[in-house]
Amino acid sequence: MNVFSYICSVDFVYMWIRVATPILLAALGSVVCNKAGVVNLGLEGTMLISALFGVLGSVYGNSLFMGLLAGLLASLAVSAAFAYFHLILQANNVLCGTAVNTMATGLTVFVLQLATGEKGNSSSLKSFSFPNIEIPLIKDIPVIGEIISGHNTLTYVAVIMVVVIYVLLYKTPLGLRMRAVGETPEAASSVGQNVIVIRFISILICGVLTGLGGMYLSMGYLGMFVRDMTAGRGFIALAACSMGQATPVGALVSSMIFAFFDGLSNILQVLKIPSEFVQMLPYLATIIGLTVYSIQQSFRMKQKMKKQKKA
Amino acid sequence: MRRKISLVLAAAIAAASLAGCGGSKPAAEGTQAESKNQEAGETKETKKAEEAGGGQESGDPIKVVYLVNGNLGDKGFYDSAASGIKMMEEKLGAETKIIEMGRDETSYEGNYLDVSEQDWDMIISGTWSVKELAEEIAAQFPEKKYMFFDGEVDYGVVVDGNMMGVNYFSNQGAFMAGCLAASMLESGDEKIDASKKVLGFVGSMDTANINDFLVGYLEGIRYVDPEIKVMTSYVGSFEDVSKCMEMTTQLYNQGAQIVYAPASQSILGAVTAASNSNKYLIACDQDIYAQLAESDPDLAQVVLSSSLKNVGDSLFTAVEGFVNGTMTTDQNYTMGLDSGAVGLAKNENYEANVPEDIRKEMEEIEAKVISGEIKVGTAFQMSTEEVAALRDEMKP
Repeated sequence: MNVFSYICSVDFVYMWIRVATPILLAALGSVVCNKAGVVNLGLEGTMLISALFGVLGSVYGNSLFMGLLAGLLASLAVSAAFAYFHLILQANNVLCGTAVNTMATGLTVFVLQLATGEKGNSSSLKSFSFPNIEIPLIKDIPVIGEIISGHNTLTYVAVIMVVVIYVLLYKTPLGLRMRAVGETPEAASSVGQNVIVIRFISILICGVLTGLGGMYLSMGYLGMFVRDMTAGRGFIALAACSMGQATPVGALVSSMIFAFFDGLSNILQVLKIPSEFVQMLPYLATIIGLTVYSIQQSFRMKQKMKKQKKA
Repeated sequence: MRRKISLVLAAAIAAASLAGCGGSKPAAEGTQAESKNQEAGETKETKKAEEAGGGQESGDPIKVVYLVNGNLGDKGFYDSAASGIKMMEEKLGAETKIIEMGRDETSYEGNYLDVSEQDWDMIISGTWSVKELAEEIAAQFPEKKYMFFDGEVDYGVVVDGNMMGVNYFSNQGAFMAGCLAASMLESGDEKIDASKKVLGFVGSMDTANINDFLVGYLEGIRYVDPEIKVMTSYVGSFEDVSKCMEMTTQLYNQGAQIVYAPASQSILGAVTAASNSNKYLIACDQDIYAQLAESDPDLAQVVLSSSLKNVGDSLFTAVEGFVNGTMTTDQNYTMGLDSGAVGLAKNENYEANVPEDIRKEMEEIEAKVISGEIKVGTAFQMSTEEVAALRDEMKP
């Protein structure tokens, strides 16, 4: 079978969108944080914790809504703790983020064991999942309908969030303040902006988005929580955010690029391509992406310099 | 003037604190020494008790510790081993302890040294990732007894013969899985499209122990019908459930009718994929159907069977043999279909979905493997290239 004919197939594009969703949600969260001048390394842990609490909330609250609520509250609590230590107690953000990730691994297993008596997964609990949505009218269009319709609720939420975050950052006073605080905190505070409060808010918004990403894994992708199920997606989201120059659209594009290679690695092994090579692809794509980006940047800089010289 | 005062004050504070230290030190030392004495006394006493008990061996329960090089809760290998340890407690009255060492390999050596210096009669650990470490430790503590499972002990390293090896013919279980999958293609089941002669395999890592399953599986398929093609994928991680789900979904999308999944902890991803695609899956290590049947019957019913590795039973058998003196620590024991250590899970789902003639056929093949009429190849005796060649040959 031909790789290219496969990439062009409906199956692949559908899977591509599915794989991109958790990365996109977390990357958008990271965008908000980055714009406000905070690098939140704790995405991975926040995702994992909300993935677990979403499942538990839906079990004990006996509804999807309670699951959503529990998952969001959990990710808000973790983000608030991160923000408190980083902003108010002035702890290093790398350390805080690492602490969140390390704690998440242990805490989730501990809570899971308390709730189910097992340490591996929550398959013994009957939890709720976000439903897939068939979009009326669009679903009847051949090809496009098959690709766009029928995804998980959170996938559509993620796409809407790209627009929401764009509007938030570039069209609202809060967004303006966030960007100001991110670029030159001294200047922002000299005109009376409270840097800490604004950064705190951005970290909480980041928590909500990342939490949704985590819940997608345990309540969309699969119907259960499995320990360490994030498997590095939080870090890939961080990379996607910086590759997308910390803009919402950039994050969307780079999440799609990562997901493309991730999706590709799911299928290439079926052909006679060694698995080691295939597993390298997503990372190779990152390096190439970053290289292309920096070449572009230096090219632009040179052009600017030339213009200035001419003037 | 002010400076002088502060200097004097500082000196006074320093002196006071030093004096304080001096005062408290001897007392602290005293208590420490006391507690040390106590400890020493205690250990002496227990040792005496042991020596006394040593005369009548049956009265003294065996003390067994199991070092898990991962965490329990995988619904597979480690949990099965832990159930064996529980069984020793219940049936042999053994004193047992399970230490979960997690995935941080740097902590393993410390754990091994700790338990080796403690008072255990049998120190159990397993799988290839700790093989060398366990062997080195056993060589360092020749007076201690060890057991290593899921691999062979190298007696070139363990020269004192104080480590029992318990190994499995996982390839035999996988062979049965291959035979079952291949036979099911012709069963006329509504989930299977007989016109497509394609099966799938999803493993966690491209390593010898996972490839041992692959080789057995491929040989089993060939034994039934050499025309069948097999697509293979490796998740590249033991935990990434979502990735495992995507890969398995792709196998089904590409036409695989049944997938066999030795995918460690991520196996639930494969089960979910099978359920979404409405196809059958053959699970691995533990009876996944039995585990899911109650909480999630929809999910469970796609698990046609599981190629079991009854690690727990085998550990129990081995420790029992050790206590009775029928098994010794200077030998490798390999358990296969004949001892029931590996084999297909023949649960109610298997009986409901596999037609009777195929079930009979499976029994016959099993008998042939046990009698040695069918020899199943193993990845442990093949080079990486040979495994790759076999794998590529079977790809569509």
